Amino acid sequence: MIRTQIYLPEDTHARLMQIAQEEKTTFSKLVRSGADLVVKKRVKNNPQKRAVTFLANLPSKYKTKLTGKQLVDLISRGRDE
Amino acid sequence: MNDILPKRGGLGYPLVLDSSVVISCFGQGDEYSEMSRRFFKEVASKLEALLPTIVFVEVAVNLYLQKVPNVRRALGVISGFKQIALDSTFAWNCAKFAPSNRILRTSDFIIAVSARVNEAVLITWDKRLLDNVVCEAMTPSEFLKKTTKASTA
Repeated sequence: MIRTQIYLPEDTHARLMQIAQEEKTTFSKLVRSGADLVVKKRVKNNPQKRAVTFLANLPSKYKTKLTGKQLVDLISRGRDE
Repeated sequence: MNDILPKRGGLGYPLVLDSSVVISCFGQGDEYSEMSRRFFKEVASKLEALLPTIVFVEVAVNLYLQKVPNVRRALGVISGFKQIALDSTFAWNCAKFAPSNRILRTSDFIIAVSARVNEAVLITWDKRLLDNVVCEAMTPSEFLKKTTKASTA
């Protein structure tokens, strides 16, 4: 993780401190989850980023029993037929 | 080399994705699948990536053949790449480049011309496409190496 410094409006800071106390979590965790939401929203609204993220972190349920090389050979054979 | 369009390509230009790169992400346990996923993680998100419609069809057919679960959902996400349509303008471009083609099968040729007319680098694992004379082509590993060198230079 990278340490960084940000300015927050006083009321936002106070509200986050209150939520952290109520939910027995930390102020930092709340700020991080907010930042994650911003990133997720950007990806969701950009179809290419969504596709890239999907392929980069392909969930294991989508993975075949074949290796990547075997799948590449399938494509190549399909073009030969 | 046919000089109807300048051969450009390289960093800063769009990428055209071949079926071999997309489909290998669905494999496991070898360099092809690992490198393809790494390519998408590290490079493809920073550049415009284009998908010829024929690639989308090849990926769909092969995912169904491999009985991948929820293929429709996977294809829905993959359709987020901007697609290069096989329309009449594109067909004429293919006809113009046809005399320069000696080794490519028709589907490979369509993919190579897609890269050429978009002044893009074709990313592929297919040896015949890597040796083509129509467009610039690289494997995901080669492209990763090139981008790493460029960013450290």
